[in-house]
Amino acid sequence: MVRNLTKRFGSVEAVRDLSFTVEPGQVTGFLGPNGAGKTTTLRAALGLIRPTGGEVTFDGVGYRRLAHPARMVGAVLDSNGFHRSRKARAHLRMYAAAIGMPDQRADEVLALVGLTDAANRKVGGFSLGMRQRLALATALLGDPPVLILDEPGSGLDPEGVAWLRGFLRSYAATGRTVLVSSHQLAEIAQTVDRVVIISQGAGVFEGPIGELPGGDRDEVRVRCSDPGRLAAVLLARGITEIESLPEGWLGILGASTTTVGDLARTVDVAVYGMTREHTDLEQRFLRLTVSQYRPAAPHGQPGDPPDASADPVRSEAAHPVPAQAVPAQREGDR
Amino acid sequence: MSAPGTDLPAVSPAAAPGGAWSARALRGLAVAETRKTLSTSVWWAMLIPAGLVSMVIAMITATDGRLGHSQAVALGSFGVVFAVLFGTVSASAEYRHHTIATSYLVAADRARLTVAKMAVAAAVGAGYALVTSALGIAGMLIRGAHPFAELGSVLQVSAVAVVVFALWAVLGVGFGTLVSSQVVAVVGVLLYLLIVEPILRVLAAVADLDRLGPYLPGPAAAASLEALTGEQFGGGFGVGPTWWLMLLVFLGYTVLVGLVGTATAHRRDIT
Repeated sequence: MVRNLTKRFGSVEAVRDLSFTVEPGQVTGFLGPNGAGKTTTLRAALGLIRPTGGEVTFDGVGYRRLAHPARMVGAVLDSNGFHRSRKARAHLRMYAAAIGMPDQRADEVLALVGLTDAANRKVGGFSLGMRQRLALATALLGDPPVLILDEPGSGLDPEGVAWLRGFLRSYAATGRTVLVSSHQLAEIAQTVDRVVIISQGAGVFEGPIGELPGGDRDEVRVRCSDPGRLAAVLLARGITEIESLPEGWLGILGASTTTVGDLARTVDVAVYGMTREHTDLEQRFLRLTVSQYRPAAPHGQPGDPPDASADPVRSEAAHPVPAQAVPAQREGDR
Repeated sequence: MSAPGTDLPAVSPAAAPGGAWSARALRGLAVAETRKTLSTSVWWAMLIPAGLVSMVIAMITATDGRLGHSQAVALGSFGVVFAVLFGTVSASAEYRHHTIATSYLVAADRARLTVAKMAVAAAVGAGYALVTSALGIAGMLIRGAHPFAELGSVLQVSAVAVVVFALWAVLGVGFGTLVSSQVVAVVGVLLYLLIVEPILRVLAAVADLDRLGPYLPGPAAAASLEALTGEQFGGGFGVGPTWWLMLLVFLGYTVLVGLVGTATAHRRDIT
């Protein structure tokens, strides 16, 4: 459970007053663009960085106060946490001893992630995917009821991603808690039950993935002689979710092609083309995380902010026609 | 695929026996640190030069076929730089190889990890002292000296060397934990011991503060051995304080660096 978490690095506010809850028996996705504050949040949860404000607790206890933290929470943070000249089994036996697990547990988790054959090889010779698996094996040493993974899919081949997906699902199916972060919704859409989405350090959505706003309606795209006049008449009809797209196109949510065509005729706007598009999860996710209705603020992590403005999807959507359009509820969620 | 871990008994962390500072938990961390040390090469890579230096110096100084003061010092004080380097490297390696995050995840109370690391480093340092002493004696025997004629004194010097080496290694862990960057920490240790401290001693002498010189960390450690050998064999370097007082001074430095390192690590963000 995360409550009012805030973390500043110098003048950079990486996480702003973030609160959410992760439930057992489910896989929860932790989504946001690069630099949104995901890693900072997870590391704060694990006691690795000190929050500027707020707290993160596991069953009411902060990580650094847990009697046996590694038996309560397993974490996969990055794939570089290994001494290159140490063998995989030696790495695991080292941490097994540290948390009071028997040595054989090292072999069990190696088998669990499919690294038994590489047990006596030095980690320096491992591929990125193998290091990811070894990081997961390390997290599983304590057989923890809570598993936290930061971008575990990076470096895995498609087979590895599919395997990880099945693994996380079955882990949660035993009644345990899984929190997995990603900057790509597509990567975890089939794995997660719930999502927590953050953007620029603040929470923008928390709930089942099917409840991402905008999912129940298709988007109508129209190219016409006078987008401004069409937008005005749509607004007058209470259709407020309109965005301006390049080359004179408008994207309209919550209206049928018939409605748009009829309305265009009433105000003498010529329609040159119209399509109806299904808004997929990815678009709905991007809609939440883009900053079109907020001035772009430098709230990313150091090194990351250029990503945000360079993202073509963002710049495409950065020409709002009317105010108070899409994410009204995003203000409420914060 | 089968559900993971279903063959294991459910773990109830809160109900696990013993607190974070229980002997059992600390023993687990000490075992982990021992495995950490033995599964990489630093411990023997530092031991080899420490032993060789001690042996060579013993052979060079054992010229007149008789065990004297300087030979006895050779038994102990020339390998310490490798003991402090071992401690420094062992602590800073966690940052260099990014294992510190995992290490702090399993020992969320970070001071426990540092204490376990210090305990293992002390044992390694003591081992260094035993090996360098043995090789120093071997060096004397090769040159025809007779260290066993004064066995009691030799053993006494070696025993103090064990303590001094162990403290140096612990101090190294404290310093490596404090600095965290391995390159900076190792260069810092060498710069201090080989350049800064000699300059400070000279300055102390110039400023008529000779008596303060021995109280710097390096001289304090060395002086505890020198003063002892002076008492045992005669012909000391004219160091004033007794060996055990200097040993206490050095213990103070070790505790100070260890506490500062531990406190710094406690607050550090691992990003």
